[in-house]
Amino acid sequence: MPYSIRQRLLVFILSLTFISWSMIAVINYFNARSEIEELFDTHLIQSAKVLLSLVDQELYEQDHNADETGENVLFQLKDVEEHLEKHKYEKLLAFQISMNNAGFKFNSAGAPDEPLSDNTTGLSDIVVNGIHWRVYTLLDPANIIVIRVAEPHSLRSDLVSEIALSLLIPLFIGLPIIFILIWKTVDIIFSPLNRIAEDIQRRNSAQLDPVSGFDVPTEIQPLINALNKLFYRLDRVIRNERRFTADAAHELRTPLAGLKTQAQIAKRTQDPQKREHALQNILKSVDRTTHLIEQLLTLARLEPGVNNTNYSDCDLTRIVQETIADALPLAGKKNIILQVNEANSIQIHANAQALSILLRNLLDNAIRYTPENGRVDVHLEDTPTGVSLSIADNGPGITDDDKEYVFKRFSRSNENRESGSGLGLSIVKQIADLHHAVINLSKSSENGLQVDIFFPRARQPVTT
Amino acid sequence: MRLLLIEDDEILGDGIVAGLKEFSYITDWLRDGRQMESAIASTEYDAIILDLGLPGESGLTLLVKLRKMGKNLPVLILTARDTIDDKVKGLDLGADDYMIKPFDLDELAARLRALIRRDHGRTSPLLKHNDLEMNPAEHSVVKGNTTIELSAKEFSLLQLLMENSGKALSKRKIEDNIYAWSEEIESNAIEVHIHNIRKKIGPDIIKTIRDVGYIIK
Repeated sequence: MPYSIRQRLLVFILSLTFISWSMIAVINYFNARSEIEELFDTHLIQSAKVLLSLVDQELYEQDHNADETGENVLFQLKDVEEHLEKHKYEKLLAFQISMNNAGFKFNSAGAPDEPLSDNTTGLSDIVVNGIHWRVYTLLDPANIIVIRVAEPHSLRSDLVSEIALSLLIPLFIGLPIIFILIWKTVDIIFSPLNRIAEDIQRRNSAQLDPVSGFDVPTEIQPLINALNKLFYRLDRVIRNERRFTADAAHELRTPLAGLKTQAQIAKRTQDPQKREHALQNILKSVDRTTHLIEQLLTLARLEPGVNNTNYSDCDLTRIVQETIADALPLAGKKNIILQVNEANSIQIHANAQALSILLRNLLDNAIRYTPENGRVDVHLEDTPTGVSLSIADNGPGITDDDKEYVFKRFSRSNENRESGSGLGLSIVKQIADLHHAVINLSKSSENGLQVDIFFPRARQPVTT
Repeated sequence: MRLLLIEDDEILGDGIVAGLKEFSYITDWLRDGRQMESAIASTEYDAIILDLGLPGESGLTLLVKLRKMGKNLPVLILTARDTIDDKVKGLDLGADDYMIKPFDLDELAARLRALIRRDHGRTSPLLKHNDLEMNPAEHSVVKGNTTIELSAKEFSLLQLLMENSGKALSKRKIEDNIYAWSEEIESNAIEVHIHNIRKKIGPDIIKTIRDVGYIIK
């Protein structure tokens, strides 16, 4: 399933950024809330303590003047109340003061009538008339005076909301900016990839020069290298192919020229003998051209990259015997003795069809260049390191100069006039290469040509 | 007209030799360039037909060698390569003409005629002497208004003498020009041919110069 790294990267980075920002915001929100709770509670407690000491002192001072006590305290408390109103958060601070023994009771302006808590020191919550109060209850050491300082919860939650909002605003403004920046950055990071893709897309099948590795991230470098290696190999194959096609086409022109000339003679001449000779030449030429085309096709099938990986364990002796049987009629025409030394099976991991083509070409060559009543000997030997195959004839042999180029395509030996395609030994070489076999040309014991091919056992055949 | 053919392909070589014989050309055939120098040194050829794709030394190498020897005879190249580069290279190295395989035998003969004609300093395709007119392309000879039938050898001999009008040609030179290496020559063959030609075109056109040879003037 194809997917876009860029898209995945963007989705991951953007969602991670969003999640982490949100988490930070949530944590901050809860932190802020508990801090605010603590702060406000402390404030409540302090207010209660201040009130208690105030009330306590007044009561103590006026201890003997019981009548006035209530009024004085009341007056003082009004003062406190006024003072409290100066601060916006404290405006809503309410308090209740009561005395267990004296029936004295004072409620501040915002406070409800009924007591906001029972008579135990500490923080508590209560809902009265739909208002949620936070209450601190403080008793004097003698358990006579009860101070209740209360504050509506809405005060704190307003503040918490404000803080939460101040946290969310940068989140909503900052996040899109960060998203855009990340988007652009990813685009910039991915631009070399786009450049390479465009470079490759623009190419036609003939453009196989390497892709520039300049300004390419190291992560992509192996891909570029692999691609360039492939281009190189492809280029070589195409060049080879093109040269081969051109060579083949040119190679066909000579027999065609021969055919045409002979046909023109046959048509033009009055001499029946000359006509017969020309017609014979035409037939010969057609056979030769057919052979050339067959060899060309064989070579084309053996090209690297073509599906020629059909390797199996096969019996070389049997392949040799079969090929010799096929070549016997040809050898018989020239009264050539054709024989093989080995009758025992020799196992070899190879492409059996290719091996028989190799043998056929070598035998054809040997028979072609061996004079009448000559001999061609095939020698097989199974050694621990590999299998050696040699074919020796008592023909004219080849010169050292010729050894250099007989394997090249369309080369013909300098010394002989025999009509070959010039491809036989190229085919032999190609097949030997596919099997990692080594070919050696030397003078046979009877001064003819000896071709030695050694198939090493250790290496596996090339699978192209 | 005597030609040298250097071509390695058996059937094509055989065809060119046999085909050009129909046009009264005498062709010596070499399968590669190794004997080219000695062949040129011993025989005077009117033109060379040179295949480029030869075993051993290539046709182009032979061409360079030939021109270095100071031989100016016309060279017609036979090539399987048809790119402009190949043609230009051949012509630049001193070839006078080229033909791409496969070619037409008539065209080859025509081009050879033109090459040889130019080489002999003529522009007209016809050879003339008084009222005797020879057309090598049509292989015909006309005297006045009568067409004269000549055998291939007689035609070659008469053509040679007309080409070299005003020059005395020795018997040896004539033999060299109208017989290939492979052909056997009777010792009096040239005298017999001259006798037959005189019977057909009249006795006065070809003159005998004692101890030198024959001349038309």
